[in-house]
Amino acid sequence: MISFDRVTKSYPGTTAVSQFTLEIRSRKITVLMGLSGSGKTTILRMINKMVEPDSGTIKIDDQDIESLDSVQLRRSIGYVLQEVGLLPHKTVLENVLLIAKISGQSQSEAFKSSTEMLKLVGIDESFFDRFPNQLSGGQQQRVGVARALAVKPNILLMDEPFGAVDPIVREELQDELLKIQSELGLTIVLVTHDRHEALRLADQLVVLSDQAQIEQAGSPVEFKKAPANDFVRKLLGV
Amino acid sequence: MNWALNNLELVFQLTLTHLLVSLLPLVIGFFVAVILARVTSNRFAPSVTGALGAVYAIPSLALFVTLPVLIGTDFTGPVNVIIALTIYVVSAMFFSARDAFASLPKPTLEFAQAQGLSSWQRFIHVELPLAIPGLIAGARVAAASTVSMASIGAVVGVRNLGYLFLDGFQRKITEEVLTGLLAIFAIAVLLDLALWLLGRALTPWQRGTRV
Repeated sequence: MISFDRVTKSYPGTTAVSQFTLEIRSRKITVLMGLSGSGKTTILRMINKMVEPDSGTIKIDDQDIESLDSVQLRRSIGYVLQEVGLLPHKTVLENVLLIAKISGQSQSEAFKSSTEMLKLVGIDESFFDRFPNQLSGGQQQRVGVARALAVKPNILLMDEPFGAVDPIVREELQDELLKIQSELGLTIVLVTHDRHEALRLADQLVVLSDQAQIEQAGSPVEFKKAPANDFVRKLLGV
Repeated sequence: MNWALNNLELVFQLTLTHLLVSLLPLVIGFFVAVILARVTSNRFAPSVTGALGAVYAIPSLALFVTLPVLIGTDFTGPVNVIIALTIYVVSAMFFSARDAFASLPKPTLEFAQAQGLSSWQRFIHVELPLAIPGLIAGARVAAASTVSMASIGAVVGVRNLGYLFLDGFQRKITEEVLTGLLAIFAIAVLLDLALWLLGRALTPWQRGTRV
């Protein structure tokens, strides 16, 4: 479980997150949804200490992450971002291998987990020796997901992971993610502004307005049945 | 070209010295510039940039002559010239190195940090390999200018190809001067080619295939 307790983060001239409190359940997909500037990405990036809060506490399985070494913490949490950010100078397999190795796996262990994860996300072996610029956007993001899974994380952070691919590929990737989740049972925190994606993937959906104020949190069914207010209704089209 | 053929051994000797006096500063300067470019934070970059820009404007002969006074090296030895040329290489390379590091793809850097690569791992696995094209481009410019500037070292007693200019000028042997010119040109072209090949070998992904 990841818990936020009255977490606040300000930048010069603006408050991104104000007094944010939430419990993110283990082994479920939690989707943070909101308009741009709602602070959802800031929340995500606080989980792996890419952003440090000004006040409040964040705990992973009851351990305050403030006391954890940030590099070590990041190695135990998978990270996927919209622009993927593959290393252009390394092949598909090398990209995944590098990440597996820095997480502390031995050469053979890293090779095993890398090839397993690449196959899990649907990358055929014939692609292993290609460079990222020889892949389509969808394939790149598959590799991005495989790479994040190669560290054998319990937590997977996804920042608009499928925002840059076309709608058909996006649905494929969403299906793929649900399949992976049924197999691995990770604690996934996913940020999106796409309502279909949010309703499709979420076990727990959290709708945020400015400064990460929670407008409503619950299962997609609850949202469809009883949207809390007009903001939620409008954002989700329910 | 009779002159060159009759003095082949001398020309060969001078070419070797010239190559050495150019290569050492290039290699040392390259690493110093890369490290300097990488460690100067945005806050210090403007002052470093300013200082190095000013250094680059110092005439080389003036630097060759002043250095011994400043750091106590031998007036007529190669050490003096090598240090001076290294300073030029650093000031010439710093700008392209800084730009090379500044223009790396942001998402790749962000991912590397977010997935737990330490700053050293990011430098070795991400920043340095991706900066190679920019660094090589800078090195090619620095190489050409260093090879030609090294010849001025002959004035302060380093017997490299510049010696052919001095001697040929004093004795009015045009062929000797031309020989020096051609040899320097050849070194510059070969170095440039070598750097280009090195850059190509280090950036296989830019050709799209591994082979």
